[in-house]
Amino acid sequence: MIGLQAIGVHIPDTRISNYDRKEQFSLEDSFIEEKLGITHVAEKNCGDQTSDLAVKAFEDLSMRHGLDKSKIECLVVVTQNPDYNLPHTSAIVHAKLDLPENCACFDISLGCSGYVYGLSLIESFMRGNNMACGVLITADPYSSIIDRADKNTTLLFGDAATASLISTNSKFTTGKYTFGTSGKGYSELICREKTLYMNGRSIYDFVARKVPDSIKHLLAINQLKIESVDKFIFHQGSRYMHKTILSRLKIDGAKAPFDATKYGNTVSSSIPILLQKHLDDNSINTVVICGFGVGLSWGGGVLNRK
Amino acid sequence: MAWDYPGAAACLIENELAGNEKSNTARYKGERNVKIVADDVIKLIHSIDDVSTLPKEIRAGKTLAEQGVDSLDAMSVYLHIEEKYGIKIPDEAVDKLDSVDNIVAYLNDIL
Repeated sequence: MIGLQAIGVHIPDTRISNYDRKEQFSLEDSFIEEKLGITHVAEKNCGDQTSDLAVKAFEDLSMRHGLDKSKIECLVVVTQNPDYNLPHTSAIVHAKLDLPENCACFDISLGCSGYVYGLSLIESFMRGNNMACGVLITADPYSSIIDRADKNTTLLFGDAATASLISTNSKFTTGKYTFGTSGKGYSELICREKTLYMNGRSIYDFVARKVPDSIKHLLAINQLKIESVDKFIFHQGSRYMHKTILSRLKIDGAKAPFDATKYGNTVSSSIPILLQKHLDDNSINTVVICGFGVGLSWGGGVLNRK
Repeated sequence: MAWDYPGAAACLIENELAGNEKSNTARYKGERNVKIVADDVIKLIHSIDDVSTLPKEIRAGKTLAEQGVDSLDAMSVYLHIEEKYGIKIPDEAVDKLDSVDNIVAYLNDIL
């Protein structure tokens, strides 16, 4: 049955320390650690493009799992920072990886909800076309659109990429998904003239109001209760936002880790980076994932160990 | 009614459109003779247990920032006020809601 088999991760080595920017933004250590929850953000090499990060994540996946590239039948890239407006970045990744010509490639334009949408889409696409092996890549390096003087964004977002192997030899299969959009809030998190703008209060309100209800709905349609879920892997926006969701759903923090402290909010890569750390832990059987952000958009899913 | 706050009129229009919030707004509008006092807002702030590290004692006349409420906790305070009173506080109004007294005045204006 089609599902998630493995995940490769690339987080660039370069880090920008938020401690070094305390004076610039009048910050206390406690605010950085307890509220933002992000002490450092990862930054890609300035010459690297989105496709380069994607290739590095793929190489990590390949190194861990000895992938046979000739068997890859589809490649999907989730990004809103493509190398070019056209062609699609997945075609460039296809070229750089020298994948076979019978490999379908397309991009998905979504932000922090992108991994959940991408997982649902690639599974359906593969099932509908009798495919056995596909790769879902997330790569959205925000460093190229961040104004380093903008406190609302520069302290939060970090660069990363992931590559998820989707195959019939899966470790996890997925249950029912839930998706939603508050399009009226599209301008609250937006890139205009190559610069990211975020209305932090609007995004916080959106997350606090929409995400807990969507998780409750997700649990209900999958006939689950909070107690029966082993891990909740939420998009890692900031510690404050993360704690708000946990508090409103009354979820124990041990079940829902916050992991972005040393690399930042990596947009659509945040869920697979954290998921990868739990893939081989056989004590974890049921995982809830939920991404939310740009759009404003959200998506949730359930992964069940086979 | 004094429109001391930019966006207050827009706020009322938004309230009319806000689905789940409509019933709360209507309820509070129906009780307009019951004025909101500082203690109502202080109690509300003290009831916030989401993630906030809000001070134990809040003085109504001092700014929230002066009392150690940072920008993220302030967002949480505004959200809880919105949820309790069924309103949407526009961004243009938020800067002026820097103390309990100012929040009380704002609420009594728009509700």
